[in-house]
Amino acid sequence: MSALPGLFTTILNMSITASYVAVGIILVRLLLRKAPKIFSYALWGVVLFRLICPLSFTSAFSFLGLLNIDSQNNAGVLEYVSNDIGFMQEPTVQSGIGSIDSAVNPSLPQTTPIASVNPMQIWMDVFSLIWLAGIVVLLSYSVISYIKIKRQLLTATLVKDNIYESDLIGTAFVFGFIHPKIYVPVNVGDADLSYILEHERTHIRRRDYLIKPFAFFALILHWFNPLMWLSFALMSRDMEMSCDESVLQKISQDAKGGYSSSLLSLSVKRTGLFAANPLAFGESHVKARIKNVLNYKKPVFWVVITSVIVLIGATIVLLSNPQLRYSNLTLANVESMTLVSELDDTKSTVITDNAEWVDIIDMINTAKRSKIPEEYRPTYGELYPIYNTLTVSAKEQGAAKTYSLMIYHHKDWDVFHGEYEYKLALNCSSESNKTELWGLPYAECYQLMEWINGIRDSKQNNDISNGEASDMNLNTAGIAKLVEDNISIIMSSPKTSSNPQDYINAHQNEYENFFKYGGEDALQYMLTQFEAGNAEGLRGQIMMRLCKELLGARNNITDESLSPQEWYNALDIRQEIELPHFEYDGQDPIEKLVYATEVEKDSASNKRGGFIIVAPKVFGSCEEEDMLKVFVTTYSARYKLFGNTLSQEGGSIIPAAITYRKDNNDRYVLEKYEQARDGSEFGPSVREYCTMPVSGKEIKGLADMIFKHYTDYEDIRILLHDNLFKHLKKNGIKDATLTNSQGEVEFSMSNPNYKP
Amino acid sequence: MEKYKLFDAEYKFASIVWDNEPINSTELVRLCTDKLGWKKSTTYTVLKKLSDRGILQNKDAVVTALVKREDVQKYESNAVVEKSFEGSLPKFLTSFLGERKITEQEAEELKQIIEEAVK
Repeated sequence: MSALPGLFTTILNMSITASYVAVGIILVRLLLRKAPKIFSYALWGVVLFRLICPLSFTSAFSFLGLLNIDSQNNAGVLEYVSNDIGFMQEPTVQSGIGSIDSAVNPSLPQTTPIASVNPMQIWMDVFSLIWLAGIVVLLSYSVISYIKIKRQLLTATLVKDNIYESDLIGTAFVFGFIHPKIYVPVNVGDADLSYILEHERTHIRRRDYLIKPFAFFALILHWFNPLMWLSFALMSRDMEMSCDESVLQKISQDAKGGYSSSLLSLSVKRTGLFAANPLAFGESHVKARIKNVLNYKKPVFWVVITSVIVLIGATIVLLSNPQLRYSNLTLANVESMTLVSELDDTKSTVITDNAEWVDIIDMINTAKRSKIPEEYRPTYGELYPIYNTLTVSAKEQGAAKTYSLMIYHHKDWDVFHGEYEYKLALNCSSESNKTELWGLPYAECYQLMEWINGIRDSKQNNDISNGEASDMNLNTAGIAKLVEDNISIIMSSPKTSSNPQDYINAHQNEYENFFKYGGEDALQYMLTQFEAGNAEGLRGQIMMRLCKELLGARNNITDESLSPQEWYNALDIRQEIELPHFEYDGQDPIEKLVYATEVEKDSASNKRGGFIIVAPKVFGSCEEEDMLKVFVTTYSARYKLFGNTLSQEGGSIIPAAITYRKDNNDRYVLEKYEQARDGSEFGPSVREYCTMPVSGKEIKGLADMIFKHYTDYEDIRILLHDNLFKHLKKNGIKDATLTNSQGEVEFSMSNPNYKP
Repeated sequence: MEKYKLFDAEYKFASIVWDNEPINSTELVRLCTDKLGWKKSTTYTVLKKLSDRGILQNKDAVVTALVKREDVQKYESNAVVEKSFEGSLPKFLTSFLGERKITEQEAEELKQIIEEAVK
C-alpha cells in the first residue's frame, strides 16, 4: 500500500515528460509530412521510452530545457510532482508552465497544523488506487478479448505457409506473438490477396506485431493521459502508412492503383454498422492511407538525408533531459577539503579525510538544489559571526571552484522561529570571480555541526597525545598575511573619498573575510598593531571598525568621536563575567522538575559558554501508575555578560513532553524527553506525544492548546526576562542591559517593568 | 427439406470427410493437420459440433457423413469478428481511435480518386 502512491508518482512524472515529448513529436511530424512515414513512426519510440523509463541522459539541447523546470533529482529523473508531495506542508507541482502551476497549486490541500494526516497524502492514496483500478480493468478487457479472438481463429484453415483464411473475420491481420500467422477473410480475390499478404508480411518482418501490443501496454499504464491515447492513434497510423510505403517500394510503382483498390475493397468488405461512429474523429483511417499511397513517390536522396538529420536531431532533443542549472559535485571533482573551526574562541584548521567527503558532497549538492524562500536566504551581511567554515576546492568542467560551507549565526533568527540558533550557508566562488550563495535547511546544518564536533574532538585528543601542534607559527604568519592583504585591498579605492565607510562599502567581500577567516586571531593581530602604533590614518580607521565589530559586547567604549589610537588607549576589553545556569527556587514540585530538566538539557549541548535561562509554560501533567508526564513549551535562552552588557547568544521556543518515572525512593527520574520536530512534522510530532504516559491514550484538546499558545507566547517571553532578572540579582549583578540588533533595549536591570 | 448451413471452415472439414469416408478419426486428424493446419483438439471440437447437428457421425473411431454434399450450403461470407484486431487492441478502442468503417458514399468517392490517380 505504501509503495503504490510512490509508483503512481513515478508514472505521473513520466507521463508529464512524455506529454511534452508527444507535443514535440506532433510538431516534428508536421516537418516530416512529405518525408517517408518510417521517420514519423520511428519518432514515437521516444514517447514510448519516456513512458517506460524514468531516467535519461542530459544534454544542453534538451527540448525540456525550454521549460522552466528545475526539478531533476540526482539520478536523472525528472520530478514535477515530488514523491514527498503527501508529506509537504504546502504541496506544489511544477509543470514547467507558469499558468498551469498557478492554477493547480492553490487547489492543492494544505496541511493545517491541527490535521493529523496530511490531506494531500490521502488524495495521493485515492488517485493511485483509481489508477490501479483502471489498469486492472483495461488489462483484463484486453486479455479476455485476446482469448475470444484466439478461440474464433482456431478453425481458420491453412492456405499455405503461415497464411490462414476464415469467414469469421472481416479484414486481414497478423495474430500471435511467437509464431505470428497471417489471417485473411475467405473469398478475397487473387489480385487483392497478393497485395494484402505483402502488407502483412511486411508487418511481420518489421516486428510490428510485437511493437504495437507493447505500446498498448505502456498506454494502459498511462491510461489517464489523453495525449497518450492520441499518440497511440497517430503512431498506429504512421505504422500502417510506413508499412504501405515499404510494400510499394518492394512491388512496382505502377501497383499504386491496384494496391489502393485492395485497401478499399477490403475495408468495404467489412460488414456491421456502417453509420459513422460518434466517438471517431478525423479522416477515416482508410481514406488517409489511400491518399498516402496514391501520393507516394520514391523518396529522392536529399529528402531522405534531411529526414535522417531531422530524426536524429529530434531524437536527441526529445530523448534527453535538460542539464541541471547547477551541475552536481562528485568525488572525482574534489581536490581538497579544509575545515576552519572557531568554536570556543580557539581556532583550528583541519585537513579532512577523503572518507568524509561523500557526505559533504551530498550536502553541497543538496544546498545547490535547495529552494530556500527569499526571506530565509542569507545575504553576506548576515553571514557573521561565523564559527565554522569548510572550504572545498573542486574542479568543475575544467574550472577551479571553491565552495565554502559556513555555519553562521543570525541574531534575528535566533528566537524568531523558535527553533535553531545556527544556519548554514553555501558560498561558491569560481575563477571568473562569480559568487553564488545558497542557504541550507536545518537538517543539513545539524549534520554538519555534528560532523565538525566529531572532528574537533578527535583533533583535541590528537593534540593532547602529540603535544602542541606545530603549525601554530604558520598560523600566525597566515593571519598576518590575511589581515594585511585584505586591509590593503580595502584601502586601495575609492581614493577620492575621505570617509572610511566608503572604502569598506566598496570591498564588502574583503571586509567579511575578517569574520569568515580571521576571527579572534585577526582581532589579536590588529590589537598588537595598535599597541605598536602601526595604526595611522585610514588603516587605523578601518582596523578600529573591524576590531569594534569583532569585540562586540566586549568593547567598553561607546564614544564614537575618538580617533583610532585614542580608542585603543581607552579600550579595556571587558572580560566575560561567568555566571551559573538558572536555578528554580519556587515551591511547585512539577515546575521544579521541569526547570531542572530543561536547564540540564540545554547545558549538555552547550559548547559555547555563557549561562542558560529557561521559561517553561506547563500545560498540564498527568500521572499513570509510576509515570509522570508533563507537557510544556519552553523558552530557553543563552546569555553572556560582559561588564554590564548582556549578549544573547541563542534561544529557542520548543514544545515538549517530559516523562519521569518514580523510583524506589519516591524521587522522579527523567525517563523520556519528546520534543516537537521541525517544519511539516511539527503538528504531527506534537500530536504524537499528547498521550497518557503508560496507556498511550490520546489526551483530547491538549495538542490544540499547545498549538494555540505557540502562536502567541508573550507570557513565557515575560517569564524569561523575569527569571533573567531574578538570576542576575541572585548572583549579585546590579546593572545589566540587553540590546537587540536594532539597538533597542530589550531588557535592563534598571527598568522597573522587569521587576517581578 | 431445408438445407444445412455451414461456415467456411466447417464446409472444408465436411468436404474432407465426403472425399474420404468412411475414414478413421486418427487419419482424419492427420488430414486436417496437413490440409487445414488444425490441431488435433480443433479437429475433434469441430467433429463433435457437426456430429451433434446430425451432419457427421463418429462411431467406433470411424467418421462418416449423414448428409449429402448437395444438401449443404455455405454461409455467405459472414464476418463475425467485425474488426481488424491487430495485436491486442480491444474493439471499442480501435473505433475510438478513428479506425472507423467508411460509408458507402465515402467508398464511392475513394474509388473515383483512385481511378483519377492511376489514369
